[in-house]
Amino acid sequence: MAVATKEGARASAPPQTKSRTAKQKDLAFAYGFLSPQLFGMVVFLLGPLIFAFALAFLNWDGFGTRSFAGLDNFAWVFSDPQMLTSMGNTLWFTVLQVPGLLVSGFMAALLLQVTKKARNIYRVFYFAPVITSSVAVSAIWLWLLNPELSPLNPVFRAVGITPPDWLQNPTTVIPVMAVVSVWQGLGYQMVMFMAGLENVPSSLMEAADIDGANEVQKLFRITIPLLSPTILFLSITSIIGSFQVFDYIYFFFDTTAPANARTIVYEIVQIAFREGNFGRSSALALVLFLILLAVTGLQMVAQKRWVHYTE
Amino acid sequence: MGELQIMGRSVSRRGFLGTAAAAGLASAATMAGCSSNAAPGTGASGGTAGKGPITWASWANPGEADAYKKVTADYTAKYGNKVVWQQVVGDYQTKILTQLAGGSAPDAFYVGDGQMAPMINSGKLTALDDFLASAASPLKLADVHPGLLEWCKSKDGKLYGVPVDSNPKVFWFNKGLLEQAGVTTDPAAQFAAGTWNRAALDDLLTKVKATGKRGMVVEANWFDLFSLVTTFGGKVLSDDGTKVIFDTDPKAMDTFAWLFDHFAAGTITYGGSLPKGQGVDALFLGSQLATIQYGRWILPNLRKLKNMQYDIAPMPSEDGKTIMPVAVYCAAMAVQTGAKDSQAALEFLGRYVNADGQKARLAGGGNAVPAVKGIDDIVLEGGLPANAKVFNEVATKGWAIPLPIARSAKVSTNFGTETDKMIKSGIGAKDFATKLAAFINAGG
Repeated sequence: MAVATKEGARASAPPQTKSRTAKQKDLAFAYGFLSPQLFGMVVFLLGPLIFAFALAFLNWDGFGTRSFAGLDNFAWVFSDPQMLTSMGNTLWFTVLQVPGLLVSGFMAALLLQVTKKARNIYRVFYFAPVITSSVAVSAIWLWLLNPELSPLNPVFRAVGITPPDWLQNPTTVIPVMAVVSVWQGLGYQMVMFMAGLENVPSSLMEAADIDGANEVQKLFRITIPLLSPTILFLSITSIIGSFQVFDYIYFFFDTTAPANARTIVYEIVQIAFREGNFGRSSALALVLFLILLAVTGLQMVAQKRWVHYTE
Repeated sequence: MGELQIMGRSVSRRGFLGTAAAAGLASAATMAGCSSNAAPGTGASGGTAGKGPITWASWANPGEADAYKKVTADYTAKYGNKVVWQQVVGDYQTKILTQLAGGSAPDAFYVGDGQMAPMINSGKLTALDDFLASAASPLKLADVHPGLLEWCKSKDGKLYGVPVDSNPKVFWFNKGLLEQAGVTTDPAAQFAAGTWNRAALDDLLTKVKATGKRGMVVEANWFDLFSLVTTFGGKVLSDDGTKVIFDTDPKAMDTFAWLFDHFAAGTITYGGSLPKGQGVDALFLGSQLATIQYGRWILPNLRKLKNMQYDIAPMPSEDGKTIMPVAVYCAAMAVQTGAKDSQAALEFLGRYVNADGQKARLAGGGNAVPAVKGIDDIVLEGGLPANAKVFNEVATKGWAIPLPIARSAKVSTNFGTETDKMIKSGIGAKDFATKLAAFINAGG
């Protein structure tokens, strides 16, 4: 395959005899075609990124003059009790949500693999929450979690439990949001795992059958190792997504989320647009970026030990 | 490996990234420049001075949106100025601040009580004093209830906004639930008899709790907490209004102790910072809560409940017969410095917030109370609630957001979170008051 790729690349390379003027013309065309995308990337991605990086070292309320803050904004991020609480909340959400998504998505994919006729119907049902907006999902769950009005309350009362005030209880608010998030994200994980399962060679399974392996052995010795690239991809994207959780909290609590429900991105928005402190907000955003960079880097390093590629 | 191939030509990765970074820096500088391209006090020219066109913006629920569209069309028809209303959907403050920073904000717009100070500090709002003192002003400032203006002023006393209307805290009660609980004389009747005091409230709360319903909910906001203090004769603010002193005021501390006793007994429910859809109003509308201490904004929803009997009273007081000053929620109209036609925008503001303007918006089932004198009858329309005249009396005496909260974006933003954290930590009333006062006076 590698040889074929090189050959293909060589075949598509411009002839060496092409004149310098023609090359420059081609280059101009290339940049011309790239320019709309490059312009968008520079204006909407790279520019704001650099601006935010600079703001992290400044004091600025969004209007007046900016003054140099040095590392004060970063010192505040790591010393303010609420910031530390919010970082803890975010980490707790990630710890609950990412394994929840991976395990439930994998289980659903395994079950659907043995479902023959109705597989596509189930797939649609599981995937529906993924394409539903987070606002709509939050609205449904807000009703289900209401301690006074929830239709689940009679079920709790029937078994002698007082319906909990899920969103006001500091102990339950993050786990509940993780449940909502897993419910919404399950379909995507399931589809990705199903695609991975399709690629597990049947010859390996047949060989394992001949060797007398049982289903559990096949699962842990063949299926999961061969799904490790999928698991790596999903774990990276899930961790990044969970560290950026914002929409559920904002919909549930608006701008008055209690301390135990606030996450890093929620704080970034509050500090910038409510408190008018863009320096601290940018410092927090930069810290989040570095955390995600480090976590993803660690995963990429660790994958050499546990991710198996078939080719 | 370190090169990119573009149409057969090698471009080093370092070179490509360097070019992209330089372009990014340039665009960042451009965007930074965008935030300060409108010099205060100098609007771009447009139209004849004083004739508009004018754009104004506000938040709005569907009912309010209809009213604002009509007011806007009527204004254009009556004064000949083309007026355009923009409904801001979603996070109002973020959007308006972004528009202001980018120089694309509407000429006039609503400002919430927690948003005024940062907007004044931004230098993007027009001081209104000269205009309102001039003969051209459609509004006489003396007509506005005095307790509702302070939060619209800067530290040097200049006025930057005028309340569009008000929502004073009153004591709503569900007559049916009180009757079921055995409360034979309702709060309105008790007030008329001069017995609507703390003991009467205690009795009401105890009886309602015995029925399994909730009697009263107090949330983690200044509107609830500080109204209880002032209605029972305590002081929240220092005489100059710049510091909170409730932690050293005996009557205020007595009220906090009383409140925490009720929390412990379960006769008053702590509402925290309730999520959307789980608000206190949902409990009251669902007949799960016997009383609610809200403004007039709840009335449109109550009107829809044909089987619920309700009325209002002032908040209870020490002597049981006096309407004490309590909190009033307000929003103000302000004009930005970059207004295309400042004169037209200021005239629009004056006509919008004066008695005629407020009457036009609040007539026909409005959800607020006038912030100016002279149109008291507007809240009596439809005869609901029966004791509606109380709205005006409370608004006249009431106070808007305390200055130490209004003037610190950090305090106004985090008041609920900090209060909620303290109460949920289980501290006593004294420690709560001390910590809360320290938080507010330190500016967060």
